Amino acid sequence: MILFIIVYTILGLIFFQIVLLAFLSIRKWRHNVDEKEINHLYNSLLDPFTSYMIGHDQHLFIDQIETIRHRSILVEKLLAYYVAVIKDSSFSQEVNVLSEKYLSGPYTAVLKKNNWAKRINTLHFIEDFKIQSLSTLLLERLCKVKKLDVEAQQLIRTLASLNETSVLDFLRKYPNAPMRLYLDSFSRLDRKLAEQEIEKALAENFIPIKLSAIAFIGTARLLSFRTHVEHELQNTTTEIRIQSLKTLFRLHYMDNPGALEPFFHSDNWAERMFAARIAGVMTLERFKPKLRHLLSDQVWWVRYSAAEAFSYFGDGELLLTYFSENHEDQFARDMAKQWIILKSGGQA
Amino acid sequence: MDSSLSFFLVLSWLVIAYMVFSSLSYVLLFSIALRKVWREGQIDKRESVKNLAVNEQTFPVSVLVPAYNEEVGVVSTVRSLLALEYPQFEIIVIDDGSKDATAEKMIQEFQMKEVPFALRKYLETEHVLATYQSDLFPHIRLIKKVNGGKADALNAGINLSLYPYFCAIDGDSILEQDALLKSMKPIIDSNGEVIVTGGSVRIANGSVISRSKVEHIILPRNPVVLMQIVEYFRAFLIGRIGFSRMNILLIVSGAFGLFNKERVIHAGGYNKKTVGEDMELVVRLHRILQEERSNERIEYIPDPVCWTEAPDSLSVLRSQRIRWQRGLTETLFLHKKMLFNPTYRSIGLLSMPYFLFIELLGAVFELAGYFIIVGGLFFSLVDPKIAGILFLVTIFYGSLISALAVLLEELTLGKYPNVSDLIKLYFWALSETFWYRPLMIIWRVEGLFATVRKKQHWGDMKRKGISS
Repeated sequence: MILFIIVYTILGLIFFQIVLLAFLSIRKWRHNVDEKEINHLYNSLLDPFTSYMIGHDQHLFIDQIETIRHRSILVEKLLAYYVAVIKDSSFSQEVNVLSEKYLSGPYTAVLKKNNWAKRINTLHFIEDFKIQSLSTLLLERLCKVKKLDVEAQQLIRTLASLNETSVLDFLRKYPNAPMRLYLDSFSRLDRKLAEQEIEKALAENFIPIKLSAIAFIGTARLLSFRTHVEHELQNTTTEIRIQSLKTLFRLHYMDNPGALEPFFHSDNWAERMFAARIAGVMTLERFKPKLRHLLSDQVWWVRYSAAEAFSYFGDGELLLTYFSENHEDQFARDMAKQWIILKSGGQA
Repeated sequence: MDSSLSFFLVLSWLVIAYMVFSSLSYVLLFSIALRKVWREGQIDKRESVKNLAVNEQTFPVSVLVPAYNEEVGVVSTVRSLLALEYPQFEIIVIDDGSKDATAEKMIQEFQMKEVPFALRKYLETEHVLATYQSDLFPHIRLIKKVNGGKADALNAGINLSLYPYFCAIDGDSILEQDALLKSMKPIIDSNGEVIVTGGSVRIANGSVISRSKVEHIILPRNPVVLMQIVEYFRAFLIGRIGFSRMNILLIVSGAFGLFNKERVIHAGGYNKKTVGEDMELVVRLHRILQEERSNERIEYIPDPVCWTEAPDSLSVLRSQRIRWQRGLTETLFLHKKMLFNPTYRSIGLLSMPYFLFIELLGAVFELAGYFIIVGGLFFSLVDPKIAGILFLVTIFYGSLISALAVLLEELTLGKYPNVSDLIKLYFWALSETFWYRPLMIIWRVEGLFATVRKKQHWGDMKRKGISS
């Protein structure tokens, strides 16, 4: 009896696997044929597409694409390639026209389907092609979001790319939302809108958005906000102070470098480290004695940053050589020695 | 005579029960894995990581390449790393007292100069002889140190690294250009709650790799390598995804893993006293997470990110498997406290017992099974019917599960381009029970014995180099 059960189970499994193998083989074969056809069509459409995009011939590409079975796949592929290689092309009128005409319909259908992966892909493409007509549908979806999962996060990014500032209000509902998501939203908004939202955020006391706004000023190099950032150095919240120092380091500029003074003696090592870094990139001569002191800091990163800071000064190599031989602290001597030869590295 | 027959009868049913139970656990893991891979299989990977490639918020990563006698492959590995698409990273090659020209090749190829780095001693290592920095690419560094084993080399790399995350890779691996981005994505998406990500490792033998990039994925012809491909599918696609979904993944391949440095340092770095340092570290991290009642996770990403050269001869494969089995035994022994211990929740109650009974002792049960099949069919040791049942169960446990893994790969990732590849892999997988699995079982049992004869070594795989 047991033998029969096992024999039939195994035969059943083998049968199931053979059927699955046949199905997958046919699927693969069809996929390969389709892919070959799409690649062939893609190559033949590249020239008319380029002519269309640069405004030479507005008809040839449209006439050809209208007759093709894989129309939306090809338009998506061609536009994805175009926006990837041409800077700021997402905002081009031709991209807008083609995506609205051939992709907004299929994308609306995909967004309503139960295929998670395809919905995510579609959200990325809507962002790439700036398909404005879909923003209402996306806002409706945002209203239904209950959890800040991967799809909700991409939805926020896509809406921000369509200049929907309401995503920032939505994020306020989630105090633990990652700063990255705020930054992604700020960076996708039109520059003028982003600056308005930053002004609003800086005036607020909601820490997550304030922190993100200060961070964004640094990443987008918004020098006009430097006074606000310097003002935040007096904030009682440590994270805000550290983020402000980080931003000033990125801006390479301060109206009042004297405001840096207390941070060289801070109990927080990150504050000491950023003070050293700012003094370095801004070559603030007056802080050389402080940097010399930080060379023997108990934290490796502070010593590293102090020595790196010296390397920015005209006489930095000379000073580092001197410290490598005469500093009273062994760790300071080692660090100075390293920075005489070391090159800053790490960029890909 | 009667008592010996009843002994074999009991043993037969024990082995049958074991194999049925193990097979069902595989099927369970398969069904857990299927949902995730099915759901994420159609994601456009390029689009999903594009944003990270240009984002200043993407954490910088130190890529650690421990190397021992890797003069053939080390330069091409580093070249492939230079092509990585990632905002900020450094490459640290650690020459662990090689007897060949590993360091010299690096120094010559990348015009490296000795730099007296002020090393931090987070972790104790063998003496560091010299540190170098490339003139051409300042983010390439080299450590020359006294031989201390792979774990020691990785610890030295951690000491020199500057960034908050590190990625440990083998000296002869080729990473996909977006490997770091794909691996960092779960960490960023989880806001740092994921502390380790392990990527899929694929076998590069046979594929066309030029300028350190996998240009065409081609199935190798050597059956030994083909079977390892099937084996990797089974391990990575069924086992690791299933475990990862339950946050009880105990293995992150030494060939590619991305780690939160602070967490690893806090855990004490890599253990130099085991040959399975990669698994031991992950188990230790889990142990600490459970003891701290932390929500942090260790995650596996199914998308292939790393290509490696698999052994193409039985002798090299044998020594690799003995080493793996020894590593597994040592790890389970070191953390025996966690076994069946409810303090460690699902790790102690599910994952550790799984690795003990299925991955470690499975070889012993399977060996007994083969012994009974042969004894039953040819020497009337047991009723031929029982031997027949055992034979069928062995086919189910070995061949059919592996064939299922091949189908799962095709269903979800489908990395091998031709229909013939799929069919070839499927039928080779079916042959597993008849030649490949018995060999593995013998070597795994040998590995159990090898644990007693402790001797630290890097493994003696002769590299041919996989990139032209």
